[in-house]
Amino acid sequence: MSHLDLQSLHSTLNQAMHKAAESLNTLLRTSVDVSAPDIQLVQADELERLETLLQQQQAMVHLGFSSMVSGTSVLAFQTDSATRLVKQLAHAPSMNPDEPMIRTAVLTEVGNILLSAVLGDMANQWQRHLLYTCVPTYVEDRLAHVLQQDLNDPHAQIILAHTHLHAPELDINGLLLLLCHPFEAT
Amino acid sequence: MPNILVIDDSWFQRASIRSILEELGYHILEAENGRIGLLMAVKHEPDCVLLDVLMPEMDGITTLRKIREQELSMPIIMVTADTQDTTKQQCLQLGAQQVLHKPIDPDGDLLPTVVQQALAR
Repeated sequence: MSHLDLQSLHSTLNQAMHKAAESLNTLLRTSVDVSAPDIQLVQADELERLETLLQQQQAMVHLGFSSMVSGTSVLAFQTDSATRLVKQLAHAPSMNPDEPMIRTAVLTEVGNILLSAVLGDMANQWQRHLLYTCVPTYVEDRLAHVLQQDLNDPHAQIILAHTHLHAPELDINGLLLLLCHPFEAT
Repeated sequence: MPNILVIDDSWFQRASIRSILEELGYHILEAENGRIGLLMAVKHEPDCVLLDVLMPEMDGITTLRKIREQELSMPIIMVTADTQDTTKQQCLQLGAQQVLHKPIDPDGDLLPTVVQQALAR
């Protein structure tokens, strides 16, 4: 990818990640800060060596997509942030936020909304239609492990973009991450 | 009061919509995917359907098409996280009355207003 391609992608992702932050703001009814996206070109087998962030246990939702690029999008929270998020949203009398089923349902839907906001905005900017390759899926795992599941070739070059979401009043920290295979375009 | 069928694979989302609309007196039916939703639409002929797009077993686009193939003409409002312009166009072409994007603000009046408008057609 050229420098111009990366600049263009940065601009696209910046707008798309802000859409996700707006959605989280609507859900939580509190201000949500979003960092500028960090974009790296890496080889698949480098994922394990990336930031310590990628190695930690996370509560995460992932959603695969395919279009002019294909890849995986992930919304990840540290376990304690995920717990605070669920407690904030599962406030109806019929919802016990400590029940695993409620936790999974809430986090899956939050992931669905935020990841779809990112991918939908990217598709609209590109004027292309993205196909979702699965329904959003919730897992508790190491982020690097989840990302590597979609990578068959350890030497494949991939784009890894991520941004941090932070709701300071609720002490909720999240990570939005996109892994794209730019050279497998269909 | 009117019957409203909510088809969404997210239990959390169905519960949220139920809580908003039951407070206004609507009777809510629920289906967790398009296949079950289609059966319920045929059996109960609800006054309005709220339909998600991305679902397992049968997605919302297919469900919308199949409901219309059954010559059921109740208003169908898509309630989806998919914000793609292309998805919206496709839903409207297939006969959806409106496309709402998640998240739905539980204290906002968007969903109640859109449902009221749909029922008043």
